[in-house]
Amino acid sequence: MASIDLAQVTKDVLGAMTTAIGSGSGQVHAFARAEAAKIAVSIAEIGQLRAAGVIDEEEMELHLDVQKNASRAVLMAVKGIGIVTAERAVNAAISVALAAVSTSLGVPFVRV
Amino acid sequence: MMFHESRLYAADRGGPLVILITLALLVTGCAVDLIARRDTETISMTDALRATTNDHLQRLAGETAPACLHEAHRAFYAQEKNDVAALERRVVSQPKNDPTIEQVRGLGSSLASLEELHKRSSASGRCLAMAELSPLSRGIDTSFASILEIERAKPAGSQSR
Repeated sequence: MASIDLAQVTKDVLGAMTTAIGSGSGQVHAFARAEAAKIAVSIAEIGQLRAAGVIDEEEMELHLDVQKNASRAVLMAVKGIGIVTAERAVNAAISVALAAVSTSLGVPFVRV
Repeated sequence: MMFHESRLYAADRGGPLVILITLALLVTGCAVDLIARRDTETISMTDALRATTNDHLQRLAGETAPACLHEAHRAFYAQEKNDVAALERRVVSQPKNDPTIEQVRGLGSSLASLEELHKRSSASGRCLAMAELSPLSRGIDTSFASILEIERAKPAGSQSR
């Protein structure tokens, strides 16, 4: 039976996963940082509106709800893109492992 | 000695077994889907709703009473509720779409808060001040941007399982 270089396959799989994770994380960090800055400015403005008496307590709560929903939406985007990144990493790892095993054993495998 | 022999025996039999299991997993290894596929309909519905909401907020910023009051904008809020409900139905129909579903529900809640604030200022006969519209506009736009950010990042194609 042909042998499989398990150390090399592990290295290739890890490389594929690291590449997939790296490409997804930079994009989401930049987005989250920009949106968090906007939310911080908005909350400061809401505080000023309340302090100046332009809005009452209940109106402040409604304004803060909008900002809470915005924060949650950003976190959901981070979570979702994290899942997308994990999916890419898992699929990249399967592809690399499949190719390595296929080459080692001389048996062609077809991804379905 | 007996122990070592049995371990060696197990390793001897276990090696090919592990390879066979690995091969079986790899051969049957379809692409793994952890999240919904990209949905162009969700993107276009969100884009359209974002545009009408931005137009509405910009119009409010430029209007004076009575044009700025809630009564004059009832049709917008009614249409918007329908559009958000349609968007929610759309995202709920996609499998493995929990982050987007939560985002759309949050957006619906934010738009309801906007209407409530509009009603309250109108009840006292005043327009929503520019200083009030600014954080509202920014917060609501962040919700739209977040929905689009994740939707565009999702893999294209159809769900394999």
